[in-house]
Amino acid sequence: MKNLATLTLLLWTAPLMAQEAPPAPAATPDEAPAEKFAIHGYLTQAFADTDGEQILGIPGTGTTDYRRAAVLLRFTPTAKDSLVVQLAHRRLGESRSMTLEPDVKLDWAFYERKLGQDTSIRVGRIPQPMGLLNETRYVGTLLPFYRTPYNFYQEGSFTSETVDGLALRHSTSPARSWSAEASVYAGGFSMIESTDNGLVKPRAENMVGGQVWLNTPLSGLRFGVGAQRFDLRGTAIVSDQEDSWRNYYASGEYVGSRVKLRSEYRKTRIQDAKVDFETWYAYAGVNLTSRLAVHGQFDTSRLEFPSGSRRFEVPKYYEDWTAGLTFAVRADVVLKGEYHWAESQLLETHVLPLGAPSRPVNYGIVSMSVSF
Amino acid sequence: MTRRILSLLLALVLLGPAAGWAADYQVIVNANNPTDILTREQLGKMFLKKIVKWDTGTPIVPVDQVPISPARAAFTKIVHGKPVSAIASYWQQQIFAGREVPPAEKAGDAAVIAFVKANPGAIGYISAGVAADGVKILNIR
Repeated sequence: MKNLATLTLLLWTAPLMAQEAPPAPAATPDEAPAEKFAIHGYLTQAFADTDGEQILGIPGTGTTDYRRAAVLLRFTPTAKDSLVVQLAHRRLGESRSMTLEPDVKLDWAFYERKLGQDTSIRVGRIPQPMGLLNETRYVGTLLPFYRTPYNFYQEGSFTSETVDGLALRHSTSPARSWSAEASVYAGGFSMIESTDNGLVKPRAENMVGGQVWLNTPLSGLRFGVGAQRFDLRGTAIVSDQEDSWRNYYASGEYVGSRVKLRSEYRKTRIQDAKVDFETWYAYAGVNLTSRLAVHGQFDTSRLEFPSGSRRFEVPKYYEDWTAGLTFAVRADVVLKGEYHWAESQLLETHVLPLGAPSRPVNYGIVSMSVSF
Repeated sequence: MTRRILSLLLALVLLGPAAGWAADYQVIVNANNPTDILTREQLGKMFLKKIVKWDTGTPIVPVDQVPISPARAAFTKIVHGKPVSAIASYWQQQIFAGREVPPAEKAGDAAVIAFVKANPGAIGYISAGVAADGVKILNIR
């Protein structure tokens, strides 16, 4: 709680501390930009409630212990070099994964070097360049709902937003009508596994991933594909505690002046456990006025796994129809209300045996997001 | 004759708002900057930090006016084709993906002129009709 108070204080006072360096009288090609230090941050505070069953940490009695905040510090000594550190705080209500998460954690810490105008390399703990939203997945002022689509991005367990290693990014000249951006990355990470037997924290190693974006001449329309693989040590899913994962995904997005459309597909294969997970979602949003927008989303997943000599299929591992409204007081202050009609195996009060038919659970979230 | 009048009216309807916006700002650079002309597309990419160096190799240092400034509204609409809030969202994405920070913001034309005077690589915009003493006005195509 003390950490939370400190973080909140930091979030609200950081703009006052942000400093602007005096302008340089003369510049050379690699001289430092006018602002060397920058401090930014965001906070989303929510109230969430379900119609009975607990899901995603939201109990049937409702909770305000549902938030995400971060402070990002950026030091740019030269036009080519940057150091970025992000500290974060998250609460997921009654989710048991919170027992393994500190109040304040080091989210990112990386050094970036620009190699020419179109290429850069990052080293350290870096956000995975994965899909449309991973790098900004908790910035509430940018999202139509409290969280990114659950199946594709996950949260709390069986996922990592970052990789400890390096990433290389290259984009073709933005002056062309068609342009492309490619990222490759390698390293490792720790993640939480939540199973019937409790929580474990396996380590992923030998991770290699890549992603390519194609920007079309139609402003706001882009498509992407990506893949990643890693070896997991300490997993509770197989008896020898070692397995390897493969992820393949595709994304498409259109951002117009009034309409926003998004869809993504991901297929995951856990090799030794012979588990297949497949998910896709489709999102549409319309700006009714300059401040008010309406949003809808369908998010579904399918799980397939072996048990004895048989293979089981769970067609609606987590399926969610969502409708929501956002009101942007300003670009950096957004109020949201959303309701989810879900069917899922992820119930947390009456845990279903793996493979049992999914059960309906509805929940709503109201939240306020600020950023600076 | 009727067709000409209709064509003229149509042209006024289509071009009127853009012409109005275009007259609301002027783009300035440091007096020592050899550049005279930029396209609107180049200008937009400089302010989104997608083009980062002048032809001389000097880093481009764009400077914005504060969000409530009429000059910024006009500049953003005509150069980016979007409202100020959409560009604010773009910068939030860049900031929180750890990629880049937005240009510095100055309150008023005098502050922008002073910044551009002091920074060889700077580029900014000021309200139309304001005397651009000590800096150079660019021709935007």
